[in-house]
Amino acid sequence: MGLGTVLTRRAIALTFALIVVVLLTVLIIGATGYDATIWKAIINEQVRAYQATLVQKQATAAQVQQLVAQYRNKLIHLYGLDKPWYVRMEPLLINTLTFNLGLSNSHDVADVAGVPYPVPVGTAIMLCLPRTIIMITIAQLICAVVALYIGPYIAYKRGTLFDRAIVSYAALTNAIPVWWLGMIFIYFFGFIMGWFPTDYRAVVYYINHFMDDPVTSTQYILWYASLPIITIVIAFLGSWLYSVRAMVLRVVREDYINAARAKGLPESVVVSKHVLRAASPPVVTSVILSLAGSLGGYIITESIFDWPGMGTLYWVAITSADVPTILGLTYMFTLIYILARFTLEILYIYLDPRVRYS
Amino acid sequence: MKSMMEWNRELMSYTSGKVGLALFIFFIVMSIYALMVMPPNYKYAWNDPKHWQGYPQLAPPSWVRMLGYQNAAHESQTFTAPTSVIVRSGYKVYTFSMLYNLDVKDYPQDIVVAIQGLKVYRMGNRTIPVLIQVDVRRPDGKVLAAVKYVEYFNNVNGTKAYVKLPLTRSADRNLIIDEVESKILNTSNVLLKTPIAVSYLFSSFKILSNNSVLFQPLEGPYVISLNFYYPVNTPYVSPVDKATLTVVGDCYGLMGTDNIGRDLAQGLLYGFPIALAIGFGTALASTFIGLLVGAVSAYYGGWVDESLQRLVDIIGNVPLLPFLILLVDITPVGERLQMIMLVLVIFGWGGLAIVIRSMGLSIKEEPYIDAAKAIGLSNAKIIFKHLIPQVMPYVVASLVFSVPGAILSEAGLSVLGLEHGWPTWGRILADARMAGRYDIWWWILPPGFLLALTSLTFVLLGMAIETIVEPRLRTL
Amino acid sequence: MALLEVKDLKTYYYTLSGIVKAVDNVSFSLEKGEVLGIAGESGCGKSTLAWSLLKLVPPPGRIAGGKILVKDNDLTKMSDDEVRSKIRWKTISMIFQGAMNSLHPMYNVGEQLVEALRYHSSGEFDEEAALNKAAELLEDVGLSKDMLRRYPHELSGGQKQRVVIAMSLMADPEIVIADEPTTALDVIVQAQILNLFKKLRKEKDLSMIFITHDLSVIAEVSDKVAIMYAGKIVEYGTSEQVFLNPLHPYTQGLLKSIPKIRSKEKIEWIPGVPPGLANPPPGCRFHPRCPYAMDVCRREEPPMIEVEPGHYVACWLHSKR
Ligand SMILES: Nc1ncnc2c1ncn2[C@@H]1O[C@H](COP(=O)(O)OP(=O)(O)OP(=O)(O)O)[C@@H](O)[C@H]1O
Ligand code: SF4
Ligand SMILES: [Mg+2]
Repeated sequence: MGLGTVLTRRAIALTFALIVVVLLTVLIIGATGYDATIWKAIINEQVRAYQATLVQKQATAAQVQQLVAQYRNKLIHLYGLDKPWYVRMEPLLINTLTFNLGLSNSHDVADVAGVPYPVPVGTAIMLCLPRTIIMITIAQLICAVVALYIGPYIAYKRGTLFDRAIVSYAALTNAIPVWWLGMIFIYFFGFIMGWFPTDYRAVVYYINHFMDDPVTSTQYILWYASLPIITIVIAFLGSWLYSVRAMVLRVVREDYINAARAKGLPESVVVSKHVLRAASPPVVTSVILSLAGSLGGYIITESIFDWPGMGTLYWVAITSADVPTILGLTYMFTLIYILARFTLEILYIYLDPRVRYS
Repeated sequence: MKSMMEWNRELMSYTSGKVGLALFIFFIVMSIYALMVMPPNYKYAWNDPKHWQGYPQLAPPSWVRMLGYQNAAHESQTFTAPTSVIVRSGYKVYTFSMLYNLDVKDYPQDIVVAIQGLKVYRMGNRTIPVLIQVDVRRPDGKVLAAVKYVEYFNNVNGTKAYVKLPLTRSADRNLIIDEVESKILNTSNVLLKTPIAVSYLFSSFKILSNNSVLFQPLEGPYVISLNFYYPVNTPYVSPVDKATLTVVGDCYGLMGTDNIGRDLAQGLLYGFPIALAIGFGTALASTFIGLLVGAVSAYYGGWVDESLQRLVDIIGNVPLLPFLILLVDITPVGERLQMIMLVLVIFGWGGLAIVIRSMGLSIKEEPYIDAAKAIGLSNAKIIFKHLIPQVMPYVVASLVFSVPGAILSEAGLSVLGLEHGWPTWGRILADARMAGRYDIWWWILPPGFLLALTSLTFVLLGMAIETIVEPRLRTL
Repeated sequence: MALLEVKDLKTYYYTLSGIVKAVDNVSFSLEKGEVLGIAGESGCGKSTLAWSLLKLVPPPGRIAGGKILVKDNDLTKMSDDEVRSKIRWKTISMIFQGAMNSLHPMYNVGEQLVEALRYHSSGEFDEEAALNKAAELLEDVGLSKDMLRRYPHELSGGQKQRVVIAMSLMADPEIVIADEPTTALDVIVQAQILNLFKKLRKEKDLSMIFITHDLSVIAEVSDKVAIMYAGKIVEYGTSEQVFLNPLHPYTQGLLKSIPKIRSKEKIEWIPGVPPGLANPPPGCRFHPRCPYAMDVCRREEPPMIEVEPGHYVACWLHSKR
């Protein structure tokens, strides 16, 4: 099988998975009657408002009843509640897949985005994505860079006190939920010590008005993002170090590494050219996948910090039952992940000749 | 195949194995203990504020007093017979009294009486109301009333001449202010503003020039007495089946209380069996599916393999947490815990299936599988007798590793705000978060520690098992 | 002056469960152009000895004593950097046991061959000259120079083995250690590789240390033979001496166990297994398996005795008490 065929097949499989995931979301929302309940609530609200205006206009009771019933039927037809859910869901599915994410019908979503209601879902996502990048992707990037620098070093120091300390740290932080650490840090470093902000929602202003005064905005954004970043780095660095160490260790004892040493290569060259090269596929995999994963935001951690990123956007969409945003975000989450997976497939070709030629 | 004994011995030869096993046993013991002592309808008691009336609110654990913290002690005494019965000014007075020693610069939070089986005195067709009064005799000799209450037995009918429902009464704010003004300050021309009037019962006072009152804890021995006033010719030895007098202190139990007075020690204890049930239930189910799918996929190959692989591909691409949140959100509160487990099982078996499949593919090439086929063993038999036992050690390690996943997911969802009604560690943390009380360390820290300890236990255990299973890792 | 002289070399693994004396008081010497065969059962310390000669004993192993003299310079006293730049590959190169795994899977053959030169030539080889040399060597070992662009996974076992042999020759070493270079190969390829060694040795006047547990292989290529048992050399001499007049009971056992085609003799194998090197038996380490074991064997270690010029043996049967 040629390389092109392999990649095409992968691409088709991943696209298929993407469509199925969106279909599944639509299924959950439609088949469980979730969207119908929401529409009914909206219709009731509108009908009540209509009824109030009618009463104001001093229509007779019979008239009101008749008009209201008419209005209700009109709305039911408009929102498609008179049709079975799969008919109602079909345009939603197609629109989502073609990036027609539509308009959010939640004030809370507009609030998280930091713009007036109503906000298009696409706009809300584009507003929230950079905030998640600032907080979570950067934190993961820091972890990755640090781990790539000292992970191999730790592997070389296997068995020493330093190595044990790192492994214990990894086991410990791996066990502690990030969001709990966030709660503790907000209280201790925010409320008690006063070193960091305690209300993070305000960062919206500086991000949305970045261009007004870039220097001050950058300072403020950094000040807001620092505690979340510190929290995430502390919580995840251990696992990062441990896994890079493990990947390097798996390679270090291969015969070809000893062979490189026997050839008289300086140890630094052995590490950089041989060990890291051999460990690169798994390392690159975990870097790419965790960066891609970070773009979706950490729903719980963002919620703890009340950080207006992708995760909070999703949670708010859930609590305000905003179907377009829920669908749009699920689509984005899946799309990002699938693109990352595909990027990896291509990267492997560059990294590993065994993939290249098989 | 290794025997259990050998497994155990090997597990014990690793430090991580030892620690993990010890912690695991601790979790099991705590769970069994919790299941034995907790009443079956505890879930409802936990959510019912009335159940927690006699408990202090936001009180730290009582052992903080030993560290020198100024927190009034919590004391409670239950009586089945009166301490004294006297006849005074035309009444027969049954008295239940307890001693309370205030030894720190702090006020108790409340005085609460709980009465069960209050007896009714009938005269002909009439029932006679009972005056119930709680008096506090202070170190300075003054006696103040804290609760004064007349129980009318309007609806008592039938043959049983007593009130079945328990009566619970807290100290009465207005009463206390009246008492203080008339018996201690001798004036009503002052500003007594604090909403927690109970403090006054335990205070010394100083009136300032602007009519405001300075008060501070009055240390020393107090006598709290619960008095029942009945007609003189009442025949009862005791007017109640059971009476409990509680000086609600400013500290409680082993782990303190939350904002509605819930005993956190109970909640945390009950969290053990729930956590293990969630964790093991999910882990067992998803491991089982993963094992089965992986084995079947490897063994049969062809279109079976192909379609199972597609399925794995799809569930592997599902954004798990968002899906979980959506699905739990649309589930009624009472079934959410089950929903969490279900979702994690449905989307959680893919990784294991992939590994088992690749292991199975190499096992399939072994000659004894052909031999088994040749002697006409059925496919199912071959899978269960030859394939699955081979991968079992790896499966056990993977099972152990996956136990904390569901526990942490539940905790995370609770903290996010998705209620499910059960007292879990995540739920306790969620309550603290909803109340905005990150400062109450005994509310925030222990549940988090227990969650972390759970992960640690299974990670250590899993690491040790993995090392036994895969000797290549031994010096990692 | 011998090209390589090893005196009382001790290499131990310091494991949690005790010290494994994988090489214990081993001495031998190697002259220019000579081939020394080292034979012994699996686990007797042959590879450890080889790694010691490059000062690359894998942890937790360490050289615990003795001398390794290369042209009178003691390797054990050299700094790591000196060993790296002067000894490894330039003076002593090695063909590893399991050559299959000693090629990096992500670099092509050319890159790996050239690399061996890059850190040893003081500028006389540019990249192209190095590649030419690699191509030449590949032809020497019977491979076409197209192989330069191939990746290890695209080669057969025999081809890989040849590439590894070519790699060992890149820096024109004086001594090549071959650690079981033929064990993983089928008989025909084995024979080809052995012939290749004979040819190379003649052409390049190489000194070689040829390690194997297969005595018949050693008989074909070596001038001198050392028989190792449980971390020690028990018999040492020229090939003729050792093969025609084996003195140590262990050597005799080994020789009997070689299958001979068309022979009616029953193949014998020495009963029992080699001892663990963490806790070797006292006295002669072979005594639990030795048919001639005497009291003294269980108590005292036999000294190395020169029974005829150049023929040494460590056995109480041959030393006068
Ligand atoms: N890293 C290590 N830690 C502890 N002991 C080791 C280590 N490596 C090797 N050994 C022990 O040292 C002894 C010699 O090992 P070595 O690899 O030198 O044997 P060998 O003669 O090359 O065997 P083979 O013919 O199987 O290659 C063995 O008993 C082995 O168990
Ligand atoms: S010394 Fe003794 S035991 Fe050892 S080989 Fe000689 S005879 Fe056998
Ligand atoms: Mg060896």
